[in-house]
Amino acid sequence: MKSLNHFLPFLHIFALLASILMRLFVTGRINPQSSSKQVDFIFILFFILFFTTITALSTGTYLLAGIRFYKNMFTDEGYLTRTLPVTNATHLLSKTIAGSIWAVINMSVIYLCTYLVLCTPYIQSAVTSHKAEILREFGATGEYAGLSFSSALTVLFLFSCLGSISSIVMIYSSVALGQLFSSHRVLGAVVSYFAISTVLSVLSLVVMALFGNETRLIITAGSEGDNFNFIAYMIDVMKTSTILMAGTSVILYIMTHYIMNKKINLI
Amino acid sequence: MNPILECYGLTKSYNKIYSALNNLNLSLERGQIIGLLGPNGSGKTTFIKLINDVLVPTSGEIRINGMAPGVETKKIVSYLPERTYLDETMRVKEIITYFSDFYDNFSSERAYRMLDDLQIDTNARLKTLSKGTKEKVQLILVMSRDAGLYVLDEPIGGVDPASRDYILSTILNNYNEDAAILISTHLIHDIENILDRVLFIKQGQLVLNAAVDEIRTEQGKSVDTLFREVFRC
Repeated sequence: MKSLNHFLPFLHIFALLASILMRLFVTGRINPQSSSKQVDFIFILFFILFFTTITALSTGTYLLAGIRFYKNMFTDEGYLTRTLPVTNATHLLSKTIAGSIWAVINMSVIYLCTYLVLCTPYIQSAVTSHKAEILREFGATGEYAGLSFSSALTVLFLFSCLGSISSIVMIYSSVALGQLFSSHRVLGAVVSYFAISTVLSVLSLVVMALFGNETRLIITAGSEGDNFNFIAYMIDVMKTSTILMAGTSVILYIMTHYIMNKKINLI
Repeated sequence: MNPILECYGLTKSYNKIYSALNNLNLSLERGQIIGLLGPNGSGKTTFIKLINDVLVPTSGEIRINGMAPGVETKKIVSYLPERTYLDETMRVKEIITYFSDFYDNFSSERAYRMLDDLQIDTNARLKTLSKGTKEKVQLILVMSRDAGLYVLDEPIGGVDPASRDYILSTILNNYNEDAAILISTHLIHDIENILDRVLFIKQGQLVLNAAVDEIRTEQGKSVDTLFREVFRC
């Protein structure tokens, strides 16, 4: 955890400051009534900049977590780490907890930055005055009639956090798999990451199709779309994805532990 | 009392053609300082890595105080690798705390005393120290533990001759009768006087396991001379 503290706080503070500045000088000054093409262009430019910053923040967080795991366990530092009187299971668990904490902090900062940039007084008042209509359009009817914005956002945030933790597990498993490529360990880790990502994406698509989530989207998109309930669809997708993420994370975690126990040869 | 280190048919192959260590059988008793000697690529470091569980043997087994390498053996083995293994962004005093947290047998007081003797600033970050000073810090950390087996890979290779004397006296002063010290080095002449036993390793196999006194009395040679004869190119 401490080793990640050297860089990540600065990255996140920078993102928060950038968001505050964008709110103060760009989005906070939005007035759709006096909008012009030049102003629209500047807004689009700043939004692209904002999403680039957020993407860089996430990439940086995961990259640093992966690099720290690699350096700490498999480079020269590994000669100390692996000779401490601690089991590999404890090493892996502590690294996963530290990485996951940073992944959740990263996700929280992204939500906070998005709130800072987007939730201007104008947008807030627009949403409040059309709240019922927006919720109805998203499908907050019938069994989902009692759904509020805050509860929907909480579920979305928890789902994102689970995804972040799952990403950390996947990155660590890629780094561990890379160790099996004795001559090109870093390259092996990168290749493993893309291979695992591809396999999981395909698996996810297959499972979604089997559970009818994808086909439902295609069918309703092909028709008039009146029967399509976005909230119901998202809840189904999130349920399936949660099971998938939890399952694959457990498998990858066990695999990483096995490699660390039986296959690691420090060079 | 168990031998501190035993190996049975210990083999380590990095590929199908080359074995760095080949069917090594060995038993080492406590209360000795043992020199692990051999030319480059003879398998010394591989053997040391296997003792410390940073390599997985291809076949055979290794026992430290009767146990396979694992958490319990790591509590009693104090290992000095031939490289800098510490986080270079840490301060010396932070590293002392780190060792103190992880090892029950680590003496912070002894470490600070030795650092003081060598005039090493405990507030300095490791990355600001010279290569030789980093090696001294690592040796101090390793020798500040009350371990059962000290495994030192090239402990004096990177330090100046004046410091070598201090390091050798540190090794002698901090070791007790219940412990054994295994030292791998090329600088045989410098450490020969402190060795009780030598192991010669050639192409992954043990070619000599003898007490230094035996070599001197029976063969009338110093270890350095015998080494040059056995490993003549």
